[in-house]
Amino acid sequence: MSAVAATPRSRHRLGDGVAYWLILPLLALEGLFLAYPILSGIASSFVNPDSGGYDFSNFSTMLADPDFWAIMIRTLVFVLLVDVAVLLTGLGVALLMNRQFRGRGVVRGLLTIPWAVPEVPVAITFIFMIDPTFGVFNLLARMLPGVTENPQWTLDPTLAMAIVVTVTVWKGFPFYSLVLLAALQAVPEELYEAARLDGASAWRQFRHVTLPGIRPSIALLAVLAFIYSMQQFTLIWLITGGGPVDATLTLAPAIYMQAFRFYNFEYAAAMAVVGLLFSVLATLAFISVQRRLALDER
Amino acid sequence: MTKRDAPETILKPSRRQLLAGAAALGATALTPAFSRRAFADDRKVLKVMSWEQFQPGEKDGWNALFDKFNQSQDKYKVEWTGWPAGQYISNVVIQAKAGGIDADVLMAMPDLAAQVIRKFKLAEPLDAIVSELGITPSGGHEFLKQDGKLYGLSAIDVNFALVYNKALFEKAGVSPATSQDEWIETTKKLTHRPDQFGIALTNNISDGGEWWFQLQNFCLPYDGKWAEGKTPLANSPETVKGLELWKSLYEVGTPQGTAQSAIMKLAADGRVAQAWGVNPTVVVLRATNPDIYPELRSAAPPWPSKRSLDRIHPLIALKSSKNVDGALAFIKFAMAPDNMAALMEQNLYVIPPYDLAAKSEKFKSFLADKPWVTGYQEAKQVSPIDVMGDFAYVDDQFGRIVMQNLQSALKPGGSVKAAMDAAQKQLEALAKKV
Amino acid sequence: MSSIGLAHPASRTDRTAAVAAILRAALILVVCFVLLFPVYWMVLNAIQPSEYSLSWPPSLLPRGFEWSNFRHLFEDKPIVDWLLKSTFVAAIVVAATLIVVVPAAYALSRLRWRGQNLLGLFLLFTQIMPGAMIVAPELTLFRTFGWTDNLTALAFLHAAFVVPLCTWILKSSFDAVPRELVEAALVDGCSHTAALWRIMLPLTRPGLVAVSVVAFFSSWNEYLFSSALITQSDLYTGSLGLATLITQLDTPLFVLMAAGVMFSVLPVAFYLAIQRHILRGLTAGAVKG
Repeated sequence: MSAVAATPRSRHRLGDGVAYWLILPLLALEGLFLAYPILSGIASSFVNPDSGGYDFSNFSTMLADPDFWAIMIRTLVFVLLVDVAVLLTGLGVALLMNRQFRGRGVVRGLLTIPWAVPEVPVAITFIFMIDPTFGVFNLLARMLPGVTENPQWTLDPTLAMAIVVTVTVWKGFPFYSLVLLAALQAVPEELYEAARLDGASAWRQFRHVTLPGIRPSIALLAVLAFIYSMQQFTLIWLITGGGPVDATLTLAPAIYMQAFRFYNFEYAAAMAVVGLLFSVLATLAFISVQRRLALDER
Repeated sequence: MTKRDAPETILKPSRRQLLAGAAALGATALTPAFSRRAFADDRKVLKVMSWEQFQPGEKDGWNALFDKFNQSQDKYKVEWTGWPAGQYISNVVIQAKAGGIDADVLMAMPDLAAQVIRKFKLAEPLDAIVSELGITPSGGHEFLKQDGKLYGLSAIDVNFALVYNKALFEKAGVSPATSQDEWIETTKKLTHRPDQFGIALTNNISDGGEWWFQLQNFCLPYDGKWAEGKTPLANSPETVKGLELWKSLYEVGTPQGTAQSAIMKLAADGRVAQAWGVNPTVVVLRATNPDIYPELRSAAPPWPSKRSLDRIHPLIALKSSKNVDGALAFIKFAMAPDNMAALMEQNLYVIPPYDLAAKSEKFKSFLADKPWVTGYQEAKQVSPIDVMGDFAYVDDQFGRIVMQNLQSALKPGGSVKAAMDAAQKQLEALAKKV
Repeated sequence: MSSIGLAHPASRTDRTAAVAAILRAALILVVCFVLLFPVYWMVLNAIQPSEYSLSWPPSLLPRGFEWSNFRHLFEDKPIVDWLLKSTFVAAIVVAATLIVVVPAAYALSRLRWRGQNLLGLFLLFTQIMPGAMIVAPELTLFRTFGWTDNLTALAFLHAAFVVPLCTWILKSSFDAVPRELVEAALVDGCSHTAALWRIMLPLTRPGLVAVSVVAFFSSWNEYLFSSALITQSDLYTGSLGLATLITQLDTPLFVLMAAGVMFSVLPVAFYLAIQRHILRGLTAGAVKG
């Protein structure tokens, strides 16, 4: 993030002109393909479905609807769980893959498979794994004390939420470990050598060399995980359909359902705009945290 | 479709020969290559938006109808457009929102049809076709009418009955139930978990749509309704009793929590004794496991009224089309008794859109020839509008509320009544928005 | 997986190092087992007859082999053609993304200019709007320009979606390159282009790998926009073709698992190829600042 502007840069030879030329292709691509659709999507949230005119009716209906607030709370729970779990998994895998061992290239390749498999087969496979009659997860559950029957995974709100979080994390972690691995490799080897000379333990090396080196990446990924899990639709929709009794109905499937199942397109757009504000707030929080961290380091 | 690249082994015949040949052979795959050559491409293209071109057991029948139309025409030719069923509605809505549905003829599921006619107001009246062909559309067409005009004609009409596997019934020494209690009993006898299941009922909310279509019927065993006008009746004693019957069957003989995909696989492998399903279930099973097809039979709904829902998937001529005349010509062609009879025979459709058996001897003998259609014919058809009241136009939303709440009744000790009381409250709130 | 051996203990031959190496190997095995189990389950159920899959208790090892699910995929469906189309689209996405992202990341990381913060926010903004809300206006846009049923246009759209993300990733990679290196070069009379080309890019290969892989993968499985913008069946990419396997009343679950396996082969191969190619250069000592 540019806003993070962690280090003071010298103004030496840096003209504005060059920068604008360098970002021109990016602006052209984004402007051409995304500017109109995004603005139009936002605009449709202000369309009154009955009169066709512009007003705040969708928002007032939505904010007065207790279901909407329940969805937002559920979304927050889902997003935070995914965010923490996917970062931890991604970091763990990245640290492991950053070590030298024979067959490392192959293992790295294998661990990108979850990311490469399309969402539909992933959902189908997990649904089959939690099938109360035939699913292999039941073997796992039965190892727990007190569990003598196959659980009804998608009829239990907690289990259902755990499942959609697990699948989302499983599908997503390779991306996070890939980016973190790139960041880990950019930490200069000299710093580790210096730490080792000082007799620092592995934990202290991690704490004082690795972590500071990859902190910007972790922060960026935390925001991305927030944004992307806010938008997780396919896996939730296919695995639990938002159930049981709406226990896994987060914002993205709710938007989809309103727009494409209930034909309330404008209402769905209003929900999307609120989700958008939510994400913007999270991002701003991230930027300010980043700034403070950068200041601390100085 | 890839089927169009069929082998061309016959020399190019004249158009007339071809027509005769096609009619005689009922050839499906061979003809398109010819029809393309037989005409210069100055004909206007009619786009038919549908999901049928992806259905394994049905696309050949539709392709044959398309080819016949293309050969009969020198003004228009029809082509497919669309998406598989699961993605269909959302993509049609996206198109409608993006400035218009890019098609001339639209095939629609019932809920979508109601929206296209009422909300998007995109349909062209079809009354002229009805009077020109002299047909009487079946009673289920009521929900396609507005202000006395008819806006859709059934391309596929499906209804519910009990499909069963004759071999498994004979082995257990039972015959299809004719009453509610008997149904639970036979189901119990037919169940040997986990090798064999007495009845396949979709019961997983991730199969939302298909679960609701089945469940929707269960207001009928005790002559209940889901709603009357704007008043929901989800917790009325009749409907609750019907759902309790569903729950008993679920407990006694269903693979609980198993996804529809695995249930269909079990059925195809001969491990499901009966299913509450629409007639295309048989078509799908014929396509996925031809060996099981000869064993399949159907029986009327096992309750006194024998009433079950039928779902009409109509063809709609889109007002926004530049070729409305062409769209109407195609729908009229499809509805013509001979063409409709040929389509129904090939695709094993057994519920005609109108009094077809009276108009086509061929169709009559086709039905007589199919041992598995009896139950579907004995079932008394009920249109969703008869049991849904004004909620017929928000069918999916209604269904979701019922299913979501019913889930709480599926846990051990769960009460259907309590679940439906909760649903009723939400439905009353929905009524205010309708 | 049996190929995972211990790292050469190198100079440290004492016991604790050996124990640590064994523990680490065990850890790697356990992590791989847990994380790859769903993949294994997908493969297992795709290759064994369905009566073994639909049984209780499930067997952890295959009890028979049957290729019918794969045969269905290759004989009844033009899966090779779909995958080629997906590869074509993904290749354009990777190329376009790199062309756009490298200069932009450089500008964000190394230059100071007015509007820099704003651009960062703008990039984020593009990621936040749910696809379901922008797909309809996107179709309007594509119709206006006559780009529907055009795989190249679809590829550029995919690039537009992934470019903001890739810009951040590459920017943080660039940030990690010591400032003095670039500035010294600039003082020596190097142009920005040369500084970027000769100093930044060689030093940020892991970042470039990450960006390419992210771009490739993000396009590979994209469905929502593809299905709205491509309706001709002879232009179907993998994700569109995959959707045609699921029809009304029938979701062939074991065929879909076979498809899941088949569809992940190419992206993983791409990842392996590109990481081997570029990371080898890296370990050869490029990062010695």
